[in-house]
Amino acid sequence: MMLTINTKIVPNDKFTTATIGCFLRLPLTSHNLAYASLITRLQSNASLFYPTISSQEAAMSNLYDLQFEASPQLFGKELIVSYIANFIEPQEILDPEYTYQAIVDLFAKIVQHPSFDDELIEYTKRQILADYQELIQEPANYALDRFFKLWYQDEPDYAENFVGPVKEIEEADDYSLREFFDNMKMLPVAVVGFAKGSSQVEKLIHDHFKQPGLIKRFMVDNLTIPAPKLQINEFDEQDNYQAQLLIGYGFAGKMTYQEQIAGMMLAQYLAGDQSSKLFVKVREELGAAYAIDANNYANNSLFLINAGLDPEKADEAKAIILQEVNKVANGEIDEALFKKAKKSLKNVQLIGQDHESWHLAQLLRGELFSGYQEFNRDWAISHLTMKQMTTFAQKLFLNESYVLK
Amino acid sequence: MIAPKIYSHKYESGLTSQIVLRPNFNQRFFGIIVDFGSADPQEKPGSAHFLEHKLFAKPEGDLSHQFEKLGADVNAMTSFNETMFYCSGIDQNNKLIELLFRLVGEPYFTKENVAKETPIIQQELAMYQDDPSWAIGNNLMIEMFDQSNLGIDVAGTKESIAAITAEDLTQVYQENYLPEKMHFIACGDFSEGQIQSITSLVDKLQKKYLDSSKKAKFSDLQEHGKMRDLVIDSTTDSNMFGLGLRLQNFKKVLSSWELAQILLEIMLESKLSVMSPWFEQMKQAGLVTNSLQISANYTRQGNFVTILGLSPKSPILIDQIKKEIVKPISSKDLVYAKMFFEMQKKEWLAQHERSLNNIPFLAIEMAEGSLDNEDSYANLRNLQAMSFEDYQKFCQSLLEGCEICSVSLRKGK
Repeated sequence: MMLTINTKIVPNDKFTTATIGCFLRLPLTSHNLAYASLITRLQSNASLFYPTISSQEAAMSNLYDLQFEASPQLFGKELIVSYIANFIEPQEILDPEYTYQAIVDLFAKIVQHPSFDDELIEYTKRQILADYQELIQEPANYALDRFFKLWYQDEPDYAENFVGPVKEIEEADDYSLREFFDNMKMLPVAVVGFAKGSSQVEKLIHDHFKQPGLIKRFMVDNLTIPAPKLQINEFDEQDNYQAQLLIGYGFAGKMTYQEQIAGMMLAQYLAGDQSSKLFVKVREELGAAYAIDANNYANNSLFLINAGLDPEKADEAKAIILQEVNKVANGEIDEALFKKAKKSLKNVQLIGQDHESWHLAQLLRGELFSGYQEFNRDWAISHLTMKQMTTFAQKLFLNESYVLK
Repeated sequence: MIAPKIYSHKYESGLTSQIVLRPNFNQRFFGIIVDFGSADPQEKPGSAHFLEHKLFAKPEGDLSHQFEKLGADVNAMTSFNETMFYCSGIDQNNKLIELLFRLVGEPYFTKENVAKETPIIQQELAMYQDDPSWAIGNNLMIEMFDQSNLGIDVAGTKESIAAITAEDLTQVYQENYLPEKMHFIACGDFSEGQIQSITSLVDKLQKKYLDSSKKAKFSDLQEHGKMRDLVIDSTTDSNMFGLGLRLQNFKKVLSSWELAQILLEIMLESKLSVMSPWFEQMKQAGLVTNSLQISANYTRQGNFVTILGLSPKSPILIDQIKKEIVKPISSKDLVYAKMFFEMQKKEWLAQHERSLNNIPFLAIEMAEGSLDNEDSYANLRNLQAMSFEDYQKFCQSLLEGCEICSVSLRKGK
């Protein structure tokens, strides 16, 4: 029997740049998130072979600005430690020293050989905490953080949105970080990407990445976090220019791929563009907001609508949002708008194909989600009915309303 | 380095156009850029931005709904000297172009629709104002350029927004939306037949919508702010600070504003980026943790650089940055400075390659360059061929006589 190795590099026939992503999967806990945030930031700064920030920066710059991104990504109950290298295709540059070999070599060194220098660790901790402190000063970020902390008040491992608990980061040291990294070596790993010389890059990946996790099952059958049952109606005061309104609906049960499409369509119908329901009602008619958003967080069983609003009109806006979601659940759908939303969604998919990040995300999802590759999203969008959108809305229950003024 | 295939044209009215080919991409992008923005002459600050919003209003309602019926996205943006309207979709090229010309070429301002837009724009401004970086950026611009249109936010102030009327918008429109101040751009995968069809359609539409009877005027009146080191009260815990460099001697390098901007940014990055010996010293001293954001800008009303960063001890760091900017390169740092310049050549080459994968970014960059008569590919070639000695000379000259101001926050007030 042949071993399945979780690597997949596909041909790149469109872009002047290629991308390789190395992804490690572990359970989402607040501890894992804090350590993954710290270790990926540490690796972004320096590594064993490039022990200073300037030497690692110079190495990437010399490879025609190779862009290296390391960060944790959240997928429901799973946390994916993500390393991505985006680089100019060597055939675009007439430089004999600029090769796939040099690129994969650098990528593998940074990913696999971190530096646990004490000074570097302390500096990285200060960096993360300084960034987090700034991030949370923005009312939209503060409100989102509060929203999730309330949503997951009984499951604190899922409540963190940004870097994980600050205390865990502050208290981490070289010993605990080494231990975490040693455990990471045993995790399921997938290396995916696209390049013009895909077979050459795949061979180089096999030469450079040999950890046992490459033959472990990366795919997960169910990573969805069920929506908790809440009746939260909270607000905080900060005396900001705008009020931040977040309305979260829980979704009853596990969302199928077909239901995820219905959720995307509902988000598009309500707040996808300037002719969408809430954009017209809340922005144009009420004059309460500049923008309004709706997102279907399928892995969290959460349908979230949020907006920055004139504080005096927040209550009216909230009433409109609740009313419009109810209308969809009652089957009162504007057919012309539904058709328009469907066409927009189809085009969003097609335009997504023009972005490298979209292709990498598809490759990752194909490895991570069971049955994802077999599901035909384009067909599902084309054939989605108003009834299906109504059924989706009927499975939503109002769970949390949070306002930051 | 391969440049995309570009078809350029100049029409009778003075309108210019470019069709930029990017084979195999699904997205088709169309835009009209106008050589008029928030810093240009207008009686009430924020009028250019208000106009950008209000051109979407037509007798039957918001024109964006017509774009969206075709499955397309439409948007607009205002900067210091430019306003751009753009849309993108997958198909229906001709219908999108027709709508785009109608959007820009058929104003419909009424007392009612202007009054309706006022709170929406005020909310847009409020959204920016809740971000601590807005206070830093806004105060820096006022310190450099006083209460001029360049000094005041692109959107205006809450009061100036409230004061704008339909008559104001009509006047600003008639004075500035002139074909010789406009450029049309299309970017994507177009066949030979589609290129011809777009060219002749644009010809028809510029005749229909654009008034070429008036001559365009430009003003480069420059205001001068107080250039102080300002500490402002903040209710947040933000550690953000900023410096503004007002450039008295900023001028074209090898006939290009863009190249001058690139060289200045390279020079400042060389001195202040995380790779620099200076940054290492500041890091050791506990003054800085995260990289600084450096941006050089050229406008008709003044040229400037902004440097934004985070520090728990911002007044000390600001002082150190000022010293480093004016300090000549020592013989000790020369090897590093030369190496950095060579690396930056590679980075700019890479940036060019990356831009080819992003249709909206490429189209907007090319449209902006076209208004300034810039040739980005020639600039890139000139940069690649430039010696370190010439780069140093140019940078010294560009920074000559520059004045520096700063803004930091006094927390918890």
